[in-house]
Amino acid sequence: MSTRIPLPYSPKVLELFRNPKNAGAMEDATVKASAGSPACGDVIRMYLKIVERNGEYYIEKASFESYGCAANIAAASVLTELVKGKSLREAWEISWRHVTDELGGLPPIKYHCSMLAVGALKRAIREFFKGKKYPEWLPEKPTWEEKQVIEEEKMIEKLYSKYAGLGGR
Amino acid sequence: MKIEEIKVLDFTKRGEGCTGHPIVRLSKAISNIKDPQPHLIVIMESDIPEKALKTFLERKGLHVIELRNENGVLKALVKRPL
Amino acid sequence: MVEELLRQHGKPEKEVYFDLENSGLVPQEVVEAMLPYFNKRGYGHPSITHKIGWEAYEVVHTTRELVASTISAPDPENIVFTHSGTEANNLAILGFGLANRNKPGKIIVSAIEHLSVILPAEQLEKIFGFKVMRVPVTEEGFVLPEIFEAYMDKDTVLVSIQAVNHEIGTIEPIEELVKIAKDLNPNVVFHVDAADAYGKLRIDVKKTDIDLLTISSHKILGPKGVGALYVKPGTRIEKVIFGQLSTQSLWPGVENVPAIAGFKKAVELAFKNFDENVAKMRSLRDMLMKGIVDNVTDVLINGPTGDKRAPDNVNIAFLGVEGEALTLEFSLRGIYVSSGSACTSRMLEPSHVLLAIGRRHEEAHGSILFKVSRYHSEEDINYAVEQIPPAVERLRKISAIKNK
Repeated sequence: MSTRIPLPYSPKVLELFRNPKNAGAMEDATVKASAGSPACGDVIRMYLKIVERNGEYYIEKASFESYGCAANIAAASVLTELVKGKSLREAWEISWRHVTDELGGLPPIKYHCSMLAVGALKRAIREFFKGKKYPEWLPEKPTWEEKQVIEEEKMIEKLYSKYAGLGGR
Repeated sequence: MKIEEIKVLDFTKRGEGCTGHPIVRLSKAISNIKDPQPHLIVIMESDIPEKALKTFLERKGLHVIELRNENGVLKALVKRPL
Repeated sequence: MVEELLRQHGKPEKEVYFDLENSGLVPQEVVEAMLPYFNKRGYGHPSITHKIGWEAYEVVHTTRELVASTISAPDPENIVFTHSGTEANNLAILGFGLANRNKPGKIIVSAIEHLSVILPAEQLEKIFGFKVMRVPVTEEGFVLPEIFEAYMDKDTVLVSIQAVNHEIGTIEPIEELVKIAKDLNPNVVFHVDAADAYGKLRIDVKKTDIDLLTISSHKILGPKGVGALYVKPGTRIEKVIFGQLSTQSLWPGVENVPAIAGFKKAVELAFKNFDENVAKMRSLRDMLMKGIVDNVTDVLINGPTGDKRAPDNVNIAFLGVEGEALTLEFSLRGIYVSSGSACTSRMLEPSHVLLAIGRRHEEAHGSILFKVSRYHSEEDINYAVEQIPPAVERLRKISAIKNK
């Protein structure tokens, strides 16, 4: 109803939208983390079940919850599939481009959905290591995707503080 | 009332796009004032004439305690009655 | 790839098209009325001196006559054809601005006008120094006369307020607003975007003293490609695009003759049983609205209800789910709608109309617009009411935000 951009999604996105894998909260999750904001129309929450094997941490299962468009749901879903069975170190390496490619590509305007999914995953991994010793592969400083997510969340916050203090209620 | 208890809603800066317009933001913010705390609304007269602002705030169910015009900057102290 | 996408989507067992805001099915009679003008008669240019030109001219002229009669306009020549309501709005606003660029006064628009009114007005501000002010509206979208009055003054040169809001269906008190405007400045030009009102409310430009009025063909189930602007004689506006003039001085270029023929038929159909059509729309509208509100929790109605709402408009916010996802979910079930959320840059910018009536971003993002027509049936509405709750439920189950 406002400005419009045509969004011919890839069939893979439609497929995942129809039958998202690993959708829904996880009762026995080890960690969970969200990225995005309701005011943006974009929130992804990642749930991870993490197990230790031979001194390494692995993602046994992953699930997601989503508030957002079809690309948002598809990106989150495909990411949970990508990380299943991987070590945290391997999962950390997954980029938003990787997620976008797995989806058969996205309209550029929807790239932020992949970034949001990866951002939520990284946040969850960081959450897992909170209070523990950071492994050498985990950077202290936020990565580019994490920065994108923070910027987007801050943008909404800044807009709201311009609207003076009513927050994203 | 203590100064710290007054929430300031400032609409004098221009936002981006169509949803950033002060009048759109004013409407949205006013509709979401639910608490009985006093609020100070600051908006340019060039966006809404003084009389229009008073009427609009009252029609939205707010009690206008004071309305000042400081050189084209309107300041309205309002409160939602309990 | 779009081919593959459509294959993936498949054809749902039943299809109900509610997205009339963005144009839709054209009745077969309208199609039949258009066809001859492609290659059987009047397929030429309406301003060339030969038989085929005159046949084209005939349909353009008689459509002008028809439209003029439906709005009580004094002269068919007062009707200018463009190719869309958007163009007609631009002609009205920019055309006024060009004609009055040496005295750039104040322009008043409502905060919920269509972008094709707001954006050209802002261009006038940028280019010629006009001052554009937006009148806030109530939570149901009404421009209150007392608030409008506080904005209106003798420096106001142009006012543009729609007769019916395209998103939330609010019926504005145009007659009263025009009176207020002209009392304070008899020379003010009052433009009314009637794209969503035409065919649903009775309009009398003479009685209400409207100076400019926009009409859109696809909004009354005519074909895309035709818009019209009524210009009261004596109103100073200039043309905004330039080229070879055809049958009218305010908009050059060859008229879309087949579409005008279709538009003419659409107007005839809309006005033939006006009151029954409106009554039918209203009853379907209420059935749909009630069906949704009764069967889905955590919803909000955007806009007024009852008589102050356009007879065809249903706009509901479904909390906890996002509009585009809902649009797609509905589409898979054969229900075609559009939503109040939209994708611009990185951020989803929701509808300015919904924000201006006080909706929060999340509420705007979850809003869905349905429009009914006299061609819908109760069966269509029942199908929608049956499909909507499970669709919403599926997305709510995986939602990252819980409903308020």
